[in-house]
Amino acid sequence: MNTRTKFRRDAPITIYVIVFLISAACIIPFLMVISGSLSTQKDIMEHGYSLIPRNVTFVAYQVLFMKIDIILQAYKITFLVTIIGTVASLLINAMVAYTISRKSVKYRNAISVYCLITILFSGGMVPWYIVCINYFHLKDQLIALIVPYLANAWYIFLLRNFIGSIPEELHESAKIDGAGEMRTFAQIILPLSKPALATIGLFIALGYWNDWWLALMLVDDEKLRPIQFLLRVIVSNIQFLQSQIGTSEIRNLTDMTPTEGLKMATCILTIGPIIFLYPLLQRYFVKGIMVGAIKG
Amino acid sequence: MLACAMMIVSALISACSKTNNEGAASSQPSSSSSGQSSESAAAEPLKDVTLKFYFGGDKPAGADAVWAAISEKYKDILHAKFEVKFIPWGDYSNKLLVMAASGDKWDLNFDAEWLGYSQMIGKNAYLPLNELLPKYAPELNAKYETSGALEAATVNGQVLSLPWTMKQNHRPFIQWRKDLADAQGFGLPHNGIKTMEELDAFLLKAKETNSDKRVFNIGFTSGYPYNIGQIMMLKYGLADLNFHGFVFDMNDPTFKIIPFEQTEAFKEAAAWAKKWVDDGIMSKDAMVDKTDVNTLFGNGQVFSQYSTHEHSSQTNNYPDKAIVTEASMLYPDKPFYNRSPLANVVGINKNSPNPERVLMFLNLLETDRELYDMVMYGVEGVNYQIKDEAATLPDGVDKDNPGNKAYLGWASQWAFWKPQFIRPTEVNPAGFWQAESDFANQPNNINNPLGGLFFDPEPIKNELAQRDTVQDEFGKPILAGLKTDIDGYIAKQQAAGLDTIIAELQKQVDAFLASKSDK
Repeated sequence: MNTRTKFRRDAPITIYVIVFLISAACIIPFLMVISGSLSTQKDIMEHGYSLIPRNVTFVAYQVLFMKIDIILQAYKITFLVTIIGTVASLLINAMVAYTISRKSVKYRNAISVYCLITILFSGGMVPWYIVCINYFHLKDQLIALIVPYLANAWYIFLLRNFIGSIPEELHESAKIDGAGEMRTFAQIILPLSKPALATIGLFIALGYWNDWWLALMLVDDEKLRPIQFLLRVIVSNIQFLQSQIGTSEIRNLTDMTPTEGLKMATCILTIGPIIFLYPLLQRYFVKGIMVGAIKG
Repeated sequence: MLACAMMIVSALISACSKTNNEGAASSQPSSSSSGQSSESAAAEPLKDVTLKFYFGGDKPAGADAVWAAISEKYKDILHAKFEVKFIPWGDYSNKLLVMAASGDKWDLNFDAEWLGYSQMIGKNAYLPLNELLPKYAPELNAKYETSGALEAATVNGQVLSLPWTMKQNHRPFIQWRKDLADAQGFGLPHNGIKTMEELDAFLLKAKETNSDKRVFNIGFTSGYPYNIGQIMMLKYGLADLNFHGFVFDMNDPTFKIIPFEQTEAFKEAAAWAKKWVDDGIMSKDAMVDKTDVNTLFGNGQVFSQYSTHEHSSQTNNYPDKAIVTEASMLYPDKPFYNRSPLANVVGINKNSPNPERVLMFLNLLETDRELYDMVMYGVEGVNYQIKDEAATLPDGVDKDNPGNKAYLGWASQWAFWKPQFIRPTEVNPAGFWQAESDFANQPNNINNPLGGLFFDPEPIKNELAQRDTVQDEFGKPILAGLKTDIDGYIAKQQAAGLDTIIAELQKQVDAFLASKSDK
């Protein structure tokens, strides 16, 4: 009996310790990135990354600020793409999901299978590129960064399951009251699907925010480059430099080697807004995880 | 249903933007066609076109303005507008390959044998220029005929790219810190170290007094044998094929292919590497440290490094201004092949709508000094000014933050360099390129008879992958002085399908030589 009460009293402490360790494992790398962005290149080369910078310097951020117009432009592009993309994608995915969730739609199974196939198979990079450039003419435009990710079969299925859990009677009663399909969708189904929409909206927004692939493949114009692409350029330039160091032309491009601090500072810039957004959206995230599961 | 409607609408939107683009493109010729009536030189009025160029690197802020100025100045001769696009180096080759595979239309792009040139050739991405070159670029063609550089650019009788016209030789040099060596009393004059034994003695002395630095960093060069391996190849008269560790004897008329690990050069290189690691001249960590050797040297962390005539003749612009360097050519009496003319090329896309116009532009670049200056350096007074023949930033423009005036030193310009027009820069002083060319013309610096040969790896893909794995696991540590079992390595490579590879490569070499002798 004594041991049992003792265990129950200590249980919170054990849980606290475990949670603390896990949180530390998540936060410490992030702190090291921040400290790396504030350390001198010499310190990083000699002592590696550390939790607290030995000599605090703002050189990396100064260098970044010299290119502030490039960075602001990149932010503008990323924000535009994320906001427009998320709204449009949510709408499109929700509409497809609503359609195939209605039992009265005759070919809903065929459409579902069609969506499923896009998850299972892919033509490859070159056919995708040919379709985007030669058929959709997406080259070098802002919508090139939005359109390819608009419809996503995963989210369609998730939304379909959720909308399917909304009783059919609601729709019939709306029809009796004289609402058309569009009105039912906009005024009844969408508000009821808020949890699912918030969750999926978060995933979609993250997808657009983190994307650099579309910018790499479809866009040459440097005014249309999102912020993640800038970070990736730095990293891929480093890898390229290491593999080509014997080539005298590349060796002479002295401005190609960014310092470690610069890499870290750019990293901070790219994740900055997300960090602020997460606490606000956290409760939807937690609530929405189980959203596509069977209701009951 | 609604979803289908949305999909159709989005397709319509993208189609509308396509028509918007077309509208913009079609309004260009109509607005500049008024220029046609004022032109007087050409017999027939040339159509106005837009030429699309792809270069590697970062786009300088002033690039669009410069190329617009070029287009304006030469509108009566070329009738062309220029769209200049830059792709970051890390993605350059891959993106060009994807664009070529999907039949994209652009006009000209930069390429190099150290980029994806051989793959672009394999994909038939470039337009054969045999007929067009003499017709539309006669002066350029004459230049190529005297220098013989088109040899290397010819594949199966077709001229597929336009190499640069500079001449260089990158034979092994050793570069060291003259300030430290002289101060510590063991300094040597220029070209004072000729053999490995002399180098060994010199570095041992350096080790005694410079224990805080790495004395020699094995570093990475383009190709697996690392620096010591390449110096040994030079000593034994072997030429590197730059292909998975194969070499051939420079005196062998049959060009028999030899795997590097089976040569005496390899044994001696391994022995030197082991000795240097044991003596502390080379660090045991060199293989995992991916930092660029030149950066380490510039930060004062390395005493000596492998170098070339080009690199050691440049003006030092290291961050540590106390650094004074000296260099020496190793084994000066041994022959070494000149750098391939394919080091920097421009290729015309197979689907280019205006190859003739591009060739006219390139020909003009060969003959017109003003166009050369504009393309290389920008608009005079805005992007650059001339001081003692050299092109420098204009007064008042901040070196670290040139803003919209940034254009000097743009990446990928190397393919356009002309020895007759090139101006000195901070790094390459006056007379630099003449010295390079003279160096390449010395009797021991000869042209590579296998220049332009690109191996097709498809038939032996698997064996090559196996060879690479064995090389990474055993060959590289042996040459870095960390492992010593050479016979075991040779046996492992033999077991990894070596005979198949050699047979296939020899076949390709023989076919290449036969096609050359047919001409």
